[in-house]
Amino acid sequence: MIKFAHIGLRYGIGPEVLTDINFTLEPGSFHFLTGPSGSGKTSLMSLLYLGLRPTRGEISMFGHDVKDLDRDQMALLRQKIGVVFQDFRLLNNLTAFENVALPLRLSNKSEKQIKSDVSELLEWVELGDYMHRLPMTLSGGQQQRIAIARAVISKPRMLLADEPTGNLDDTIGYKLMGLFEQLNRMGTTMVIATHNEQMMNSFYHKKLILNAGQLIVEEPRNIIKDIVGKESDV
Amino acid sequence: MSKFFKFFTPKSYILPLHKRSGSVQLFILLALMTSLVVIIASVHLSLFKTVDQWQSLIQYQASIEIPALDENGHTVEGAQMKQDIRRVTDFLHNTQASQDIEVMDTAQVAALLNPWLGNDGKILDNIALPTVINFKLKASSVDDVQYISERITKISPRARLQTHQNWLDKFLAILHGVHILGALIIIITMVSTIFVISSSVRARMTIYNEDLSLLHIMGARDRFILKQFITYLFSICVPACLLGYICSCLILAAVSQLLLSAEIDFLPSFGLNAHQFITLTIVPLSIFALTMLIGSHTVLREMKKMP
Repeated sequence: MIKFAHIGLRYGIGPEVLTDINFTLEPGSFHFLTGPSGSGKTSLMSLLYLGLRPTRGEISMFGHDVKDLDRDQMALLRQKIGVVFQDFRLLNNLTAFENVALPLRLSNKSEKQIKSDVSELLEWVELGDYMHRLPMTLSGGQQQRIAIARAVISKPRMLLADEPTGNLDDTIGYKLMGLFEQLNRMGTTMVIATHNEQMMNSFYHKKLILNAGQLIVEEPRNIIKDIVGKESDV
Repeated sequence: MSKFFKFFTPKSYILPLHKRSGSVQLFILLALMTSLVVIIASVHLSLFKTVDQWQSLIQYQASIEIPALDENGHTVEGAQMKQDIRRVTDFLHNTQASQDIEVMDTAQVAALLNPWLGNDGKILDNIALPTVINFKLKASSVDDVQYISERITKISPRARLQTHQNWLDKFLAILHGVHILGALIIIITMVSTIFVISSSVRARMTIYNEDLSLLHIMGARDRFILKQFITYLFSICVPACLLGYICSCLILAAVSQLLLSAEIDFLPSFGLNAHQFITLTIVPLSIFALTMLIGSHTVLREMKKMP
């Protein structure tokens, strides 16, 4: 379980970009994170993948109070979080295989296991024939699949994705969301940051709505009830 | 050049730190610093040897000089001179403090002036050469120098005792100064190495900041990042220190040969034996250790800035 209690964040001596954020992510839950540009989505995502420390408040993650952890324990906690960045952030000097293998190397997995797991996953995302290619030689869609494969290879307990469908057409976007749903059904807690209203409304998941640094948790729309309600009105 | 560094690079190396410009310059700088420190250290070792040589040559050696001219500038008559020499040598033979008494002949005294006047006999013919009597002071009788000096002045008022101690003290003071200067240069070089390594590592951490923060977010521990930089520094430092050491040894060997062939008698031989060359390997090893230490410290300090 992930719990944010009274979280505030400011950069330097500037104003608070996040104010009194409170929410809980249950294990295996699926949330969309949305809000207008400049509302603090990226900052909140950074707090979720422990890339920033809050100025105030407490973060509890997988049973640990984050502020009590030393640097090595923080690193171990980060290994339980997969992140898909909007710009993929692949290491351009490493092949697709090496990029996907990176989280396993960080957790000291054996070379034999790395080889079998990475090959299997790259086949699954239909990049088996491209595993020895450098990211620069691959298309945007292929790079994105490498980024997703890298995020899920170590079977993270939470997956964060920042605008994963932002650069994709609707068909591929929905296919990608299908993949996230599949991972979620396998027990991974999901947080997807997106602006795409239509996409969010197509799935029955909670929304974390950020506005001017403040967070509102919105329960999912009950589509069936909506439809039934409209029909009874008619 | 990156292929050269890759030879020293293990497979687990993820960040291509050696591919950015500056690696070759760092390599050359480390090699030059190693060479410089090895040369200065070898001069130090050689000077220590020289001091020992000169001290063993001069210590307990004394000479009595009887000038050929009297206090009015007139040449002393042969009979008078012979009498002075005999009285001084008789005294030395009868004194417990002295041994190995030898009166230098004119040719030997003239040879002492060779380095300044050359071999031109005409010049030497016109100079009234003094008589020099060499002898050795017994180690246990060094305190008797004052007594010998006073006695000789009584026997022959023109005779002067010279123990070379003043000259040796001045020479040792100069060598001491050279030692301090050398040590200062070594310290400055080492401090420069610290700054060069530290700024080079920091520059690379800035260049690869995005990749580093990505690795950090993915759960890389500080020592994983450290390993990347240590691997990079290792691949640069080992060949650089090795090259610097080999080059400086070749330079030292060449200088040693040059000085030997010059046949400068009054300079002690400049050369290092195998044992000293092995001792000098401390220099590249120290620069290697310093590089690794400073590199590690800089990486860990910079990493601490990440949450």
